[in-house]
Amino acid sequence: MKIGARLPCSKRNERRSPVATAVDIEADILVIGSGVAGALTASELASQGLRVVIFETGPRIERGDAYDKFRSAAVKDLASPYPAGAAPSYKNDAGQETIYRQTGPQSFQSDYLKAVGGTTWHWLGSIPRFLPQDFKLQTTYGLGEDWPLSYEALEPYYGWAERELGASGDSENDRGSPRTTPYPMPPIPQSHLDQKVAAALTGSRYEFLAAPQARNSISRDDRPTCCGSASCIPICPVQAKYDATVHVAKAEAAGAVLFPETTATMLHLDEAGTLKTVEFRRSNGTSGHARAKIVVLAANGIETPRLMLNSAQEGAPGGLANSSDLVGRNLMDHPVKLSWAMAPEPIWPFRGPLITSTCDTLRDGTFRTDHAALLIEIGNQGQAWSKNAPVSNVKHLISQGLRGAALDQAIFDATSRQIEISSMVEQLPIPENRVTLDLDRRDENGMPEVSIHFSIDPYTQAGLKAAEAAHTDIFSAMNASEIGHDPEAKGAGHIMGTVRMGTDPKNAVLDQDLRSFDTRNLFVVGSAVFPTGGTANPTLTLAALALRASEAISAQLAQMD
Amino acid sequence: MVLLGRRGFVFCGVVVLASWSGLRLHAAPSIDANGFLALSKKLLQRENLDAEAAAKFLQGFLAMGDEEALNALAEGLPQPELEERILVAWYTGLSPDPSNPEAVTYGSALVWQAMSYTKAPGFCAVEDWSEAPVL
Repeated sequence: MKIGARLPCSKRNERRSPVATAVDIEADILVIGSGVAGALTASELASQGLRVVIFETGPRIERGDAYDKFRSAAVKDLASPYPAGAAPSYKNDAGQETIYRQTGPQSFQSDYLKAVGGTTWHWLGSIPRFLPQDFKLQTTYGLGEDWPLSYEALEPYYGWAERELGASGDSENDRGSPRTTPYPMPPIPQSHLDQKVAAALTGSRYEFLAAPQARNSISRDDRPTCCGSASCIPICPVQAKYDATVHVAKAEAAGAVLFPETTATMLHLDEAGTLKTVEFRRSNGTSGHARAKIVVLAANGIETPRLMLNSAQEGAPGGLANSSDLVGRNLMDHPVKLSWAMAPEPIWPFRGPLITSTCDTLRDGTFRTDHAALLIEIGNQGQAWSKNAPVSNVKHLISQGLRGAALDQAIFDATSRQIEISSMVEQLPIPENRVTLDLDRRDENGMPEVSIHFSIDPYTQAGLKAAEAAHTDIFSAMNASEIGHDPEAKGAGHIMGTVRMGTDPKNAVLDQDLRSFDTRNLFVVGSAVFPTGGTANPTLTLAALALRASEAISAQLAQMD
Repeated sequence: MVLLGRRGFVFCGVVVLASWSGLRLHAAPSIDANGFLALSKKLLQRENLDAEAAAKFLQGFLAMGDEEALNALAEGLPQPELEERILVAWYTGLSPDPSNPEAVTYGSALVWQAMSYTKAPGFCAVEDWSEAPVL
């Protein structure tokens, strides 16, 4: 493996035909992207003694530096702990669209982190499993697509993924997703606020249980117990919350070589249609070519199709592995309905992990033929998301003329009764919701930027209405007042569907092992592969699929040798 | 306003002085960090305020062109809008200058003292979050 060799400076190769070029990096497996999907795949394959190289566009992040940056930042948003450019937002402070050109009726509001470890640096850490019905939506309800594999087929990998990430949950309640192995850790305690809400809902159709989380409820895997810093987003100060640097480190310890600040810009086929070389460019301007027997794309639901579409060439005029014309299509999120209210008495928000309880009872049912399913979460951060509390409370109360002890008491009263509830709503795959290349804008690597067409269809809009009604039910049961609902659906950060798996090459990009139908030494991992999105946060499912794919990759490599 | 007239007079004096002595042409702020700290204590009805934070907040107000109003407020003349902004700064820990990318204070911002049942995000909990707080 010629890794670490000095990389030649060259201009970006604009050729679109098979190339014969000097190779700077050679490996058995090249993984592009070091988020949870890429890191897990790399770690598993490197542990088998395979030669693994990882490319990551973003830099390595030092947790202490990031935490200090978060503490000192005036604006504490997703980007605040991270280097400039690593966490681009879909919208800037002035409300202008930034990284995406938005061409649809709705804005796609989810973005991601470019860093070693990927977006798991600032994810929430929730890891519910999909429901068995989520894998056969077409068969059960005549909607969307069936997955090419069943829940039962993925179940062992769910358990494996829970052990890898470090899952805390209640093994006695499967929440509709049957399990054959227990959670490796007991559940994270439900907040006092959650318990108050759950008590008010006793006997109703809303049951709030301890949320399964990739967050240590006990010390495990050389990581400490969650200390309740309440800053899971944008950074866990102690790494009690899992992030993919865990498996990047394991991959490197097993011999994988990571190249940070290195972006794959073009995937080249040979005459036989095999993926031959990967053109890359580093942040210092140097560039080169890598060659691997198998290439794994793990660059999330935006960047993976971007790279595939940018790799249009002779033999693949619509983009690499895109004979189905589905690369970039069927973009899904979990549009979020956000609501707020004031409890009749203090319920003590702003304490503990950001979410400790969820309600699963509306994740499936016959209603699903009429409107989208939803997963309800109780926020533990007062009205921080909806109203920028407590800063908004401070400004309001000061403007009312309150001062001294009276002001302090008013802040105490105004914040201690706040509650916020959100629902993540299912979204069906719609081909017109898609990622394409914006050829008018190019980044520092010369790659076209991304254009997104996004809309929320009537099925999901009906689900958002159902979520609002459910939130009102919950608030009413609590005798809460000052109830409000955000009219605009927010992004959940769940980028799904743009390189989907299936059984028919005409209706999918990948087979059930996540191997390209067109280019057999190309695999894709991550939530881009989901045919439908269900209501579960996608990370555990994409992790399970990545572990399953690692077996297929290993087997294919053995056959190639 | 009387104040403006007096400051106008002072400014003219500086011009004359500068022309005589070659001094740089700007007026030093008449409220300093200690003065701002004292003013803040009075407005906030608190004694235990951090002097270093006061100095940073003052820099922010001066950067926003509030020197004149600060002097007036310190002399007892009502400046309700500025008074509110001073309180907001101390409670939120944020500089009044929105171009400042850094907070002046965070965990010790007064809002978290008012919310005595919790602490700022990013600091480990001091209590079990599954129980009601001990007040």
